[in-house]
Amino acid sequence: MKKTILILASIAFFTTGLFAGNARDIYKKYAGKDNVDAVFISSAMFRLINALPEVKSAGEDLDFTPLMKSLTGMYILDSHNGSATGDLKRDIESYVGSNSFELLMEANGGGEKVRMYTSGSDKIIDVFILYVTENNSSECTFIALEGKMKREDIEKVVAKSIE
Amino acid sequence: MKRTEDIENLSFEALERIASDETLNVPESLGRKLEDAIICEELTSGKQGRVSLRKAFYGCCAALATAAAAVSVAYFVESSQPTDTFDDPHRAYEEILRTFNYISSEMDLGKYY
Repeated sequence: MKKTILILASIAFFTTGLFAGNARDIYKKYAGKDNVDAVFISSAMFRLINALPEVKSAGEDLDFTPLMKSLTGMYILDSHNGSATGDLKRDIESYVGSNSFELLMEANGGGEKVRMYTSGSDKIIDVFILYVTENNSSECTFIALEGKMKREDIEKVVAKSIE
Repeated sequence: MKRTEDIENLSFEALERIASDETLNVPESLGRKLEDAIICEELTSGKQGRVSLRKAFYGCCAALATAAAAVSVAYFVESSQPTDTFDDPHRAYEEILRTFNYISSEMDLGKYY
């Protein structure tokens, strides 16, 4: 009996870990499918990027340097595949709906619907999601940024963007 | 005729004295019976040894299974990380800037909560 409980507990533990929805799982599920463009940048690559001299001297209108330094992962999926897009939309909506995400912004215009979600605390954002769907189209874009982003850094970019 | 209790109650010296008395006749089958008793004892202890060996075998199997499971989990955790799209950090940096600009352009027409 004890053995059965232990086995069941182990299975439950591992399956929870395997199938817990997150940006990585979604990326792994759709990357490599036909007509799905995928980009992944790891934390190791972010460390290399942050060592580049051009990152330190970034002095443009929109300074993304503080944001970039706080990132540990970036996942991009851009689907033009009808059947994959349907599944991708369902998975993204399930992901942002079942986790502690809050809607940061929503826009509906120009034939597309844009939604941005964040997850984290009042000061630190752990995950930032950009989810864009084309109206009457089988296209869908999913961008997930992971890290320890200061909310004020995101707000600065937002403020600068809408000036 | 001595009874078993009498023999059991004999002192060690008395037993030695009797053993050294060559006038006493020892039954011919006694040696064979003693050998049989010793073989039986060895077989019994051998059986216990086999049981211990079986336990050791199961223990080894369990240890190997645990090690295999640990290796599998480690392999899964390692392989669960997707492969980087870019090998060159400069190209990755350009992609990130492009993405940030895309995000900020999408923010431009947004309604904020």
